[in-house]
Amino acid sequence: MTDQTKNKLEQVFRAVFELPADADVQNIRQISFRKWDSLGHVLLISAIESEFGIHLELATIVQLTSFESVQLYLTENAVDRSAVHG
Amino acid sequence: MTELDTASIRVTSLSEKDAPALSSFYRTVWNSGSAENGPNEATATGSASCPFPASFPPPLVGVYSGERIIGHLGSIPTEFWDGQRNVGGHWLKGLMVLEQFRNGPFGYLLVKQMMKQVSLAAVMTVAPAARRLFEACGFKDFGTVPNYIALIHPRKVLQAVDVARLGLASLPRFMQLLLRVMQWGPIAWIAGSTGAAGLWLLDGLNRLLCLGLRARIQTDPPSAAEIEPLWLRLRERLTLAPSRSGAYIEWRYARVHPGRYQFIEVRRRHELAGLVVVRRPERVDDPRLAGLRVGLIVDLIVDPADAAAVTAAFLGARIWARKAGCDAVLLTISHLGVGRLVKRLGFVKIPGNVHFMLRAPPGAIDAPQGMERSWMTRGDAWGDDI
Repeated sequence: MTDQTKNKLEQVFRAVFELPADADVQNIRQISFRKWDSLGHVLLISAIESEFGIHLELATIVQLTSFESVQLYLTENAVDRSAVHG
Repeated sequence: MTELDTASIRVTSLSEKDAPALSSFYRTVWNSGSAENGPNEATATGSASCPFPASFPPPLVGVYSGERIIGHLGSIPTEFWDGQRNVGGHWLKGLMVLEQFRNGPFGYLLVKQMMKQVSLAAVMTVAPAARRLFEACGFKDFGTVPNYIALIHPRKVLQAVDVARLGLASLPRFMQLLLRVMQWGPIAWIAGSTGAAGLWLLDGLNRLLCLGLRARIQTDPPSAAEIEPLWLRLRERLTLAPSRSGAYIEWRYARVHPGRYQFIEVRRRHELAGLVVVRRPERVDDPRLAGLRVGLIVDLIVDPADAAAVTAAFLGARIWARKAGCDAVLLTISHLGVGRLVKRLGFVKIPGNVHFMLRAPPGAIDAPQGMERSWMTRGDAWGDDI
């Protein structure tokens, strides 16, 4: 994943969870992050779909439970293919 | 941790064919396999008894993972009075996702699925996450419904109060400190005895205000025909209230759970001037209550402008509470006028945590801005479990 895509994803997380611009989001996980409730999850998915121009199926949505898992999904599914592969 | 069967997740409406899966879900969450003890207990009596046939059967939605239900949201038929007319709708109740699947999309998906099937909808909810969900789905949060508590055995209550456990941390610090001081043995005895004497005097004075009225404790409610005019008088003073028609009271408090409730009738000569629905304390193992037996005023129908009837009703409730072995009795009501009156009757306002939220399609109801002249009680949305 390029830095540009990664930065974009970090901005999405900060915006959805209303975090400061310099907040470290890479360790955010659904199970331990207080602000990540049901609505937060839906807003996050909606923002990811909008920012990366993708549509996520429910089976995928339920598995995206951390910044790391989202990053991995975007990499494996070649979102912004030219960016991912440089 | 049980894995999700992600390939077969579906959010769907539930019906009788889902009964086995529902039963299993209820057992897991509420330790009961019976729908009669679950959040859709209102359906147990069937459509013939429901006073809101237009809203029956109430929708029920769930999330399946494979053959297993992992999330659920139920509803209860109701009708709202908006100051001018009755509008059919539903209470939403029992929003629950199994713990290992929470904080994902299921709560939101359940609410969205339910919204496809109901029009006017309301909910009484505590959890901030649930309130966010409902707000995102178009519900307006009208704020908390106030609680008031009357002490029947002041000394026992003083010594048992745990500010943190009872959610009283929002009380001013000086009151919290005062409570801690008053919990010390000798001071508790003096404070409790003084409090009890004060309440006795207060009761005596208040009895003078309701001469000509008689309050009686009954095991059955008055007839629906007697309750109806009382409700019609009350609703003329209200801007928003779930229906408390005679048919509703009979269904809600006598048919669905026979024997669970008692009724305090206030009569002026022979005419019904007030009705209080009460419930004996059933759970003393709740750690928040520290062994206290707290009786509930679940519902009431009384004209708030009839101060004598209101006084007689709550004096009757205190007598009932003493006879039922309660240490305190809890009232939850949104109407501010009643809240002011009961403070003269020995009730103290304490922080509430239950939010009333309403979603009304445009033009469906003339909803007020605030709750001052609304009538929400603990019995609404069938929420009379502490």
